[in-house]
Amino acid sequence: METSYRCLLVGNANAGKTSVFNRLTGLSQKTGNFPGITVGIATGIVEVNEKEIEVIDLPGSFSLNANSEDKKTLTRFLMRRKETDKIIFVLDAMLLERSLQFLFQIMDLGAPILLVITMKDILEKKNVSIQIDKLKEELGIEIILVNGKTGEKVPELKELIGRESSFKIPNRLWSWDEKREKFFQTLLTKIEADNKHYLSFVLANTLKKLSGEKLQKELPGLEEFNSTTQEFIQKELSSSGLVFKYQEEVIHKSFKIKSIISKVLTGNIENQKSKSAQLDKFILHPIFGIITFFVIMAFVFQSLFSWSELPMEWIEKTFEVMAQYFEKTLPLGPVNGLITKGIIGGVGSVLVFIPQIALLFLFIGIMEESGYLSRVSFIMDKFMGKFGLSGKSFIPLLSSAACAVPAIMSTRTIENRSDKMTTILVSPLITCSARYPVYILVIGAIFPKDTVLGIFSLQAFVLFSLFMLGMATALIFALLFKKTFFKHESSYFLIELPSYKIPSLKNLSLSVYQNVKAFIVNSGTIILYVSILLWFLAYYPVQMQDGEKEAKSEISNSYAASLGKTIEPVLRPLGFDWKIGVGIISSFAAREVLVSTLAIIYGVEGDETSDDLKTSIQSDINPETGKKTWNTLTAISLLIFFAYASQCMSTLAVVRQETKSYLWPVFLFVYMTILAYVSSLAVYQIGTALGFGS
Amino acid sequence: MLQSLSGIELNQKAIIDSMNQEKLKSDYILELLDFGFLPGTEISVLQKYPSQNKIVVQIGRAQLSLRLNDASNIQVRLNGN
Repeated sequence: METSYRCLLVGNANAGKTSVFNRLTGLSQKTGNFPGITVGIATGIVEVNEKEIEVIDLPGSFSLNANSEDKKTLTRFLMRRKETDKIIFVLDAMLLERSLQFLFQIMDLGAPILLVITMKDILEKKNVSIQIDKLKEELGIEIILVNGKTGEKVPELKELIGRESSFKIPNRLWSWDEKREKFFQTLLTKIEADNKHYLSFVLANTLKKLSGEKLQKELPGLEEFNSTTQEFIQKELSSSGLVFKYQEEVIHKSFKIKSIISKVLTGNIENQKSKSAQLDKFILHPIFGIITFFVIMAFVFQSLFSWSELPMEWIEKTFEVMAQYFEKTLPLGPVNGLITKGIIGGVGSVLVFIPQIALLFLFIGIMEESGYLSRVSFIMDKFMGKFGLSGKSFIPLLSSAACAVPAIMSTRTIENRSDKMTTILVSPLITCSARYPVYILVIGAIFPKDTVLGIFSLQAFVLFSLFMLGMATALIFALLFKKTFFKHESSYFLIELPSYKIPSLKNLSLSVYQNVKAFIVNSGTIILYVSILLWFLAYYPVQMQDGEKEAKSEISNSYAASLGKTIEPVLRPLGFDWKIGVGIISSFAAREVLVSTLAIIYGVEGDETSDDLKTSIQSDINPETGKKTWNTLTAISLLIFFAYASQCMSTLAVVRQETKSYLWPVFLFVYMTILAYVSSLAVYQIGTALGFGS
Repeated sequence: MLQSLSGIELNQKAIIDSMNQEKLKSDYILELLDFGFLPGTEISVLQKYPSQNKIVVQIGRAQLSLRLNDASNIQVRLNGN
């Protein structure tokens, strides 16, 4: 089979574009790597007529002008497309006018287009029909009506995709008012170019930019021309006295679109009371809506932790058994340690989060597909507004309660740059699941099983307080960042309330699969490398004649220990000794590593619930002072340190990926670590001064 | 008769006239245009939620929600006037 041209799938968000993509490509999908594109983009193969055609699912948008990362990626991709690339434009029949606006923009690019209209079923149900032949005539391109949900007409679509002649380069269908259009056409004839279509697109952008419009940075403009032409255009525009505004362009397109719609549409799409509006009366209600929301959230969280418990145990057990097997079968020595503690331990520490991440994406997927997610943004917008954010930041912050990595990835959909950056910067403060092993160990070892106010367990109360502390600090810092860095960029809110739908199992499972895969690839590799490095630091230097000794007996002489002892003076004011120091150093890779590090240092087997480890912590005596290393104040100081410190390589890696800068991950790391140090210092020193330190 | 979008009655139809370029951020205006807030387009208010500072409007078949104070910076013309 031969590989031929590529097809770029473009269209509105929620237009059924992903369903069409899933129907076309199924399991041949993978996340593609494209030069200059950082956001993961799904691609797949359509096999038709002995040809393999690559279909690339570009992020959904309503125009080439919006500023979210997703949408800039779309423009960047379209600008760098290959000469042979074709565009498949997916259009929502229910939102004809708005979709056609976007199609007109894409048509201006001068690339060959095939138009796919979705929502065939809803059109039929509403007794509305679009006269496809007439629309073909009006637009000058090939059109097919499909049903993405059932797959109806998808084989015919495949046929069309396989025939290069189904993709046609359309003519520009709209024009400016007479004066501007004449000026524009005159300029076009005066500037030399090989590709007049592209010239017309660049010239239109140039004129808008010169008229003072802030267009998306990715759109090519004046800089595309040589300096003589640049001067020429500038001179011509200023002497003409004309102004080219985006808003006017949209209005002129709208005239044309309205006239096309009136010719091809029969039946009335508008003015029909939808069932969604009825349901919204309840879902968006100021009181019932909020109660419903909290009930759903409580259920999601409860399930996130309880449903993931068993599979997480299985994964842990499996890796334990594997480690034990290799420990016994491999000869003692560095290879044994590297494989059992470094590699198996490292891989296990990543894979153990898969059940939670999969569940999180399942729930978010259900909420998104059903249409509830935008209602959540609606409900939470006022509360988030108090902290300078909009309702769109709520879901990323909520997801951070499981893991900041997918949470930061989900900020791609936030249009407002300052809202997006603020959300990225505060998400890691929310108590994520990696903190729980640490919290559970420390709380379990140090705090007694008393009750507070007669009903709450003290231990649960401390855990809950830490969760609230993370949430509150994140919101306070959001406000702080908004008032300082992003002072001039206020937040705004505009969201579509799509009609409620039953989520498709196929879309859900593909989305869960892709997100889990992205997590493993992105953070898994880093954690694996760091685990191997940490194992090395904790294992070496080793005396070879001591081959029979286990690694644990050597850790007090290891590089890690000397590192711990070196930084002990810095940590002592916080109440930490060198052992905690080693734990903190190793946990900068990932927080939960503290537990296994302490286990190695104290020479016991076990996890955060193990009694051996707890007993060792309780009975550890500081040789210099003769007092216990761990008291309540040390524990609180350490818990606060872990609540605030930026101890997660994966988070920093994903921040780097999403912001495309080294500045922001460095800033994130520095501000969180300073916050952690200062807060722990204050707690420990004030606590000691008040006499709690004994 | 010109009026602000936040001021019209529920289910009353109106025509979008203009957006206050000084009060609304330019990025926001671009987003509004993308979502179909075009001068000359019919719009109706489905619901207002003063306690949440929200308004839900319909343009074509799309239901959109924005903040009430932003809606007060969008001017509309009432039908039949």
